[in-house]
This record gives sequence, structure tokens and C-alpha cells, in this order.
Amino acid sequence: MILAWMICILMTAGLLCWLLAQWNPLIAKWIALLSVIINFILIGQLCLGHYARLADPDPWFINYEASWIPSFGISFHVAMDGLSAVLVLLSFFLGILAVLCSWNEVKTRTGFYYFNLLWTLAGITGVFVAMDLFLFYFFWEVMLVPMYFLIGIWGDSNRSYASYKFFIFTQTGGLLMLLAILALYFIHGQQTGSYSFDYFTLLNTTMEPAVARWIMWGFLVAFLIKLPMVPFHNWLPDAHSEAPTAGSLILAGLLLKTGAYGIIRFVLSLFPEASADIAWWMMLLGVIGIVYGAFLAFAQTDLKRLIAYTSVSHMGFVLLGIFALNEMAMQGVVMQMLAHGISTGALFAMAGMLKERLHTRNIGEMGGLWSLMPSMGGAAMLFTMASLGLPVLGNFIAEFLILMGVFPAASGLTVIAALGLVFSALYSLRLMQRVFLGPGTVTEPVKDASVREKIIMAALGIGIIALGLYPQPVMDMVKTAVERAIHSI
Amino acid sequence: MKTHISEYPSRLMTAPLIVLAVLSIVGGFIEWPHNLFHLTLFSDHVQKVLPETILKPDLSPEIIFQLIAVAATFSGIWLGYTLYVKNPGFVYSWKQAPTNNAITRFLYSGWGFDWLYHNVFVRPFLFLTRINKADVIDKLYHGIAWGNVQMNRLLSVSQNGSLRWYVVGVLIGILFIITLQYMI
Repeated sequence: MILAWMICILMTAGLLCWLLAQWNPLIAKWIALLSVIINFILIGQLCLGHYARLADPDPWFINYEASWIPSFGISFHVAMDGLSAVLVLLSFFLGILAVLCSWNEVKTRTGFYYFNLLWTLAGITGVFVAMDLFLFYFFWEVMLVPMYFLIGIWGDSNRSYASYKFFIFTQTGGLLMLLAILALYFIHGQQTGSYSFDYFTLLNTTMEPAVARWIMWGFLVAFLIKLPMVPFHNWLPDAHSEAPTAGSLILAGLLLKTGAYGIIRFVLSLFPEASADIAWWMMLLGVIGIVYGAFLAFAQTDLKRLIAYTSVSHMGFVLLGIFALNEMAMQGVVMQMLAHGISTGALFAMAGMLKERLHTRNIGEMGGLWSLMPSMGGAAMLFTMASLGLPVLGNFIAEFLILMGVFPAASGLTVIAALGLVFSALYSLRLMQRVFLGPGTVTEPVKDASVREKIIMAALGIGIIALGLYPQPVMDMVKTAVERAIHSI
Repeated sequence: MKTHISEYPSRLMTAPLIVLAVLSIVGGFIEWPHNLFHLTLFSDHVQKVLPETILKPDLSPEIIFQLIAVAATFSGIWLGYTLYVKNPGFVYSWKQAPTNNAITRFLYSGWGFDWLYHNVFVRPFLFLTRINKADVIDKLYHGIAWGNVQMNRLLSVSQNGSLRWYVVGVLIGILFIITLQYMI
């Protein structure tokens, strides 16, 4: 029940923001902030409670089902296990920071902006907890439309192109997933006589290998576009660079993780043999993504586009780790999802701050900013080092676990992926060098980070260092979910 | 003397140097080979951790090898003295000889490793990243969008506002539906 409440709080707060902003925009901002903080406290309590009771045999520590459209077998079934809990915690953490980021940045139609932001967060939360496939698809689309508005209305100069591209790419994937869901529904119904969209019921469907492969591809395409995997990644640089700061933060920090979550939760569990068949090819595409994303990131002169391509590279690690199909790599994948969400979210927040001050995203027009903005330079150094996988920070644990897990499965690909770590150092250091170090080219006076911005950077910094020094609680919490995803294969 | 020394180093700098100098001289004498004094202070200590070095028993020309090593060291000192103190012009004129220029440059630039790395790693990487800066895969999706626009252009021909065309279109559609109904 509490999961439904969390989603309802976000949706109602969004509506309230939209209605009340005409009267006083500040009220809308505070309502948005309060709703996300309340939800963060709720999920924090749930996580702590779950962590205390880890020995419990049932991994689904919250399981709520209410019938919605029983004649079609659709129910409002939401459940949470360790994996969902950790990702929903990340969602609300980044949600608070997204609301804080856009405090002074959004000046037009603030109510509608916070409505879109909160409904995107609600959609993301729903995606992470939905256990009924129809409900999952519903939340998948709820996640999509407000983000389209966020990019299209409050974005940068090329925003309509970017928002169209984002919408068409992810919607196409979603529609293919809908076809696959319906196919699975009908096959299960014909086999057992009871038509149901429920995830747990559909787990027991037996399909012929050819049929299973086609349906798996329907699901997989949607998640691979969202992840993004290399041939389908082209929506990401445009969407990330043209979105407003909070939009980029949520895109990079959360939306990409819904793709990874979908693969772990749905593809690996519903189609174990078909997944094992394509595993090596998916790992190869992951490695291609790592190297291709890193090469492209190095070449960019637009700051946000550079960081966007680093997301492509890091998500290549996620794809590589998922299809290694062993526990160590999966733990690495979950750590990478969290660490990448925090570090890349922080880099986007910083890029937004730089854009506010310098009114440009072009690296060529920046340089020597450390002496003008020391605290921002320090924070940027921390998150750039995180992005390149420095030990003590979360990304190192993630990439190390993934490489260790992939090595027994495909050692040649591990070598290339490890080279990808060198390439990530190249683009990260280029970013630092061109923007903060080097000769100063900025002539107008720029202010250093304000208190609000320092709070954002501090929260993210503490998060990434905590993940790097003490990842064991996270790994304990997702252990059962990860084991079940693999042992079905 | 080419550079004028303004002041001698202070005692704070010379004291550690003196300590290091004394240790450098004395440090060599804690281990003597077994045919001279056979002092094994160092290897006794190290053998507790690292594997023991097995020595061949009593190799007779060993003292000759030791004398050769001593002779090599002293001849090096003598060579340095001759080349740099007694007759410095020799080295200078050797360096100026034009035949040695290429070798000198090669050795001076660290055996050309910088050049090697620059041409094997840096230039191909910069080339690859520069040619794909705008992401060639994007062309596929631009192509799809372009194809749609072309189809729109093609089909827009039928949007000519002429009522005659629209009426004929409706009639053809009705005929099509009636034919279908009779076929099924």
C-alpha cells in the first residue's frame, strides 16, 4: 500500500503545483520539494527496515495487489524487493536534487514544470515497482510524456528536434514491448485458460524457443533503446544536451536505469534460455558501446554532449555485466547503476551551473575556471574522477566487479572493456583540462557556487564516496533479486 | 666556471648529505664475499624472508672476477677524469661532428619513444575521434526522417484542393469496399 501512496503523493503534488503556481510560484516549488522529501524519508525507512530483516526467506518485502480490470486480468500489483528498493531510493534522492537544481532556473510556467517533473518521477517509481505487465507499460508511458514536455518547453536552442527524437525513439521501443506483452498474455491464456498480465503468473509460461526469442526481442528492444545500446543510442546526446538541468539529471540518473532494470527483471527471468543464447552478442554490443561512446565523448566540444556520451560508455558496462550472467557481474551492474546515476547526475548539474553563468556549453569558450570558481572546480574534479573509475569512489567498485564477473564468461571482451577504462580516463581528463584548468579565457566575472548548489554537490559527493567505501549494504540488499535473475538461467 | 655561486649551501643541507655520504661508504662493507672476509650481515637478515642464494662451492677464479670488476670501476673513473677534466675539448668536438648528429638526436629524445607513441597511439586516436565527431549512426535515423519527408512530398500531390479529385476518390473507395464485401 505504501508504494501506491508514494506514487499518489507525487502525482497529487504535481497537480497541486500546476494549479497553485498561477497564484504563487514559490508555493509550487515548496510543495514539489516537500513531496519528494517525504517520499525519500518513506523509502529510506523501507530500505532500513528491509536491511534489518535480510534473512527473511521471502525477497518481496512489500507485495500489494488490488484488482483493476479483472475481466482482462489486469491488476494493480506492485511489489518491492531489494533491487527495486535501492533504485527507488536513488530515484527520490536524485528527485530532491532535481527540484533543488531547478529552483532558480525555471522562470516560465513553473507550475507545469514541476507537474512534469513530479509525474516523470512517479512514472519512474511505478516502473521500478510494477509487477503487472500492463501496469508496467502504463508507467513506462507515464515516464515518457512529461519528459518530452520537459525537454520540449524548457530546453535549449535545439529542443524541439531533441524532444521529438527522444519521444519517437523511446515510444517505438515501448510499442514493440506492448506487442510482446500482448503476445505473452495471449500465449499464456491459451495454455492455461486464465488470461492474466501478472508478472508472477507469467513467469511460468512455457514457450517454444522460436516464440520465446521473438517475444524476448520485443521486450529487449524497448530496454536496449532506453539503456542505450550503441546502434540505438542517438536520442541520448541530443536529449541530454538540450534538456534543462533537472531534466538531464533525471534522464541520466534514472531513465537509463529503467532500461537496465527492465532487462534484469523481465528479460532474464521470463526468457532464460533465449537470453543465454544471445548473451555473447549482447556482451559484444556492450563492449562496442563502451569503446564507441568513449571515442565519441573525447571528440565533443559541447560540454553536455560530452557527458551524454560518457553515459553511453558507462551503460555499455551495464549491458556487458548483465549478460555475463553471473552473480559478481550482476552486483557490479547494480553498483554501476547507482554510482553512474550519482556521478553523471552530478556532472550534468555542474554543466547546468556552468551554462547559467557562462551562457554557453562550448568547451572552447571555457578555460581556467578553477581560479574563478574553486569549489565548483573541486566538485568537478571529484565527479570527473568518479566518472573515470578512481578507487574510493563508487564507479570503481562497479567496474571492477563487472570486469571480474565478465572475465570467466568472455575473457577477450574483458580485455577490450578494460581498455575502455583507459579511454574513459582520456575523456574525463580532457573535460577537466579544457574547462577548469589551462589558460583562462573567461573575461566576465562569474560567481562561485551558491549555498543551494553547494548542498547539491555535497549530497552527491557524500553519496559517491559512501558507495565507494562501503558498498556492502547495497550488495546485501540486492543479493536475492540478483540471484533469482541468474538462477532462472 | 660558467655560473657564479652566490652562497654556499647551509648546514641544514650539508648535514644530511654528510650522513648519506658516510652511509654510502660504510654501507658497502656490511657484506663481504666468502673468499675475502666472509661477512654476511645483510644476507643473514634478508634470508629470513627471501629464498636463500645457493653459492657454488669454492670456485677458484673468483678472485679474478672480483679484480676485473674493480679494474672496470677504476678505469671508468680514469676515463671520466681524462674526458671531462684533463681534455674537455675532445667530447665537445665529438658532439659537433656532423656524422653523429642523427644518433645524438635519437638518443637525446629518449630513443625516440615519444615519437613512437605519438604516431602509433595519439595520431590514430585523434583521427578516429575527429572523423566520427557527428556520429555516423545518426545518418541512419536522419535517413529515415528524410524518407518520411519524401513520402509526404509524394502523397501531398493528392492534396490539391480540387473537389473533382476528392469526389472521384470517394467513389473509388466505395467501389473498393463493395468489391471486398462480395469477395468475402
